[in-house]
Amino acid sequence: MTSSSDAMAATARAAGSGGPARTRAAVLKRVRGTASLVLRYAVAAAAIGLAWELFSVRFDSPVLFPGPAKTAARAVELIEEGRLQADILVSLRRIVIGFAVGSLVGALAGLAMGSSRLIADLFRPLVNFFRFIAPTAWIATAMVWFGLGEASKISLIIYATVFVVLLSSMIGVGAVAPNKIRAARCLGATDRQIFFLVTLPGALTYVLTGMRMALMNAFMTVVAAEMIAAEAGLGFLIYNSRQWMETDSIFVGMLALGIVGLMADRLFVLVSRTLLRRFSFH
Amino acid sequence: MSATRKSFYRGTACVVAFLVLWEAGARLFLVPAVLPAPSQIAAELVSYAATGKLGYDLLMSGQRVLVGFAIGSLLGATLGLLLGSFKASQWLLEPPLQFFRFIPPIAWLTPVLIWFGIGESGKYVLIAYTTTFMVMINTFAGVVGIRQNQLRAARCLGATRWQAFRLVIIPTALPHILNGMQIGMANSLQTLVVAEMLAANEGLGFLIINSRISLSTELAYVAIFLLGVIGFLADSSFRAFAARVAWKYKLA
Repeated sequence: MTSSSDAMAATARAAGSGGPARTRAAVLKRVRGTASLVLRYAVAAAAIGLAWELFSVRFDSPVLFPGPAKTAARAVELIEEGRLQADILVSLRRIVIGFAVGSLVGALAGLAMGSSRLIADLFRPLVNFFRFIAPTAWIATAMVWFGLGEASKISLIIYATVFVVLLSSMIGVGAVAPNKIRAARCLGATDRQIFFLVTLPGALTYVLTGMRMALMNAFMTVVAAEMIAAEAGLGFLIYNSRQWMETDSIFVGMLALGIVGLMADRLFVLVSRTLLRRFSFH
Repeated sequence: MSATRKSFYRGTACVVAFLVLWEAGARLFLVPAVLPAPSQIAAELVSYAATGKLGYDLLMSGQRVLVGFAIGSLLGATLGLLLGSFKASQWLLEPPLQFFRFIPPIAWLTPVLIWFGIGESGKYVLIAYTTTFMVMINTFAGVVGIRQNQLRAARCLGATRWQAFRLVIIPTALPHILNGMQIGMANSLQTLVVAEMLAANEGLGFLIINSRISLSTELAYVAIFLLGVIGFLADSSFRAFAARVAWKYKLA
């Protein structure tokens, strides 16, 4: 999945750059790059699988430490029952909503704090205190305020996202070269024009970098919240399986987290790259 | 009035306003079980600290974080430096590192509980893992990102492989190591809270989850507040340390 999305990105990029002669060479280069990446992933997966198998054989307790084959069989079972897909979807839904709301709030607040001295002065102490409280510390409180349903988990993910995006956006505004702003002002731009045409595009890379970091935090928080209070989701699958000593289900849940997280990250990079190429987002 | 003074006054005014609004709102509209007023939380902090139990909770949480963090930082920096220095391990390791990045350390809690039991060692392992991973991927990225020309220059001037490692790779990677440690500390606190909520009988995380059961909500806020203070102190002392030690390597 990752490699194919990389290939798509590669062809999209290649198609956009240079003349026809160059394009062909670029495509060839990209294809070779993708092939090498696929090979790397395959070799790494094989190496990990082998090490895992050896360890589990050595450990000799399929219940406590199942090998790759047993885990794969369990994954098939869980998929056939429809549980794995359901848990993934539940977790993803929480992440997507929380991440979107949190990013929006964080970006707006960060841009405001970056652009206005007054707003920055007012809120900096509060932000600097609350951002150091681990989102997971609020789990119990979130349950009291928002109940055991979706709202409490989503609010936790918002909390985990907001501060990362906020800080990064604020730094982004500060990083816009003052000469650019001066130049725009010399050419007669109004404050509003400067914000939308100079500051915002300049800070965008930072906003997106912050969002990418926040996405990882969102995964961490959702798992923690689901472990403590949920009836569905990957965190629930991982924690609840302990009661039945289904270590294989735990491994399936963890692998699913890794795969879904990696895909979400790649998708985020791909989308921001293709949409915002002119702002040179890497 | 100087500019720094002005921002200080503004910030203080906003904090005071926030506390007053919270105090009034909590006293007028809400019961303490939902949101206790700041004064009630402060009173609870003092009275609970007086019993001496709070000191024990802090000690246990602090010990868990520090032991795990120390092991994790050392392990992470060593692994990152070694693995990043060899072309073969670079080639092989990047994909799996990308993959494991998205398995939150807290997800390992269940297997760790099964393998190590609910004693202290399980928490050390979990926090060490959290830190190791963060420090390792940052160090790794730092080493991989070293400009080849810098290394070539060192070799041209007659540096041995070991000298190049010691005098070029380590200093260049140092800001990345410190950066990884900083993130690792923040993540460790997150992991710690959840681990203590689910599998401990003392510590700040336990305090939070237990006060919900015993319905003494003030205590949960005391713990949340202290976690914020610890996070803040850890981060700022870290910055101060990094500024003293690594100023010449430009910590990002």
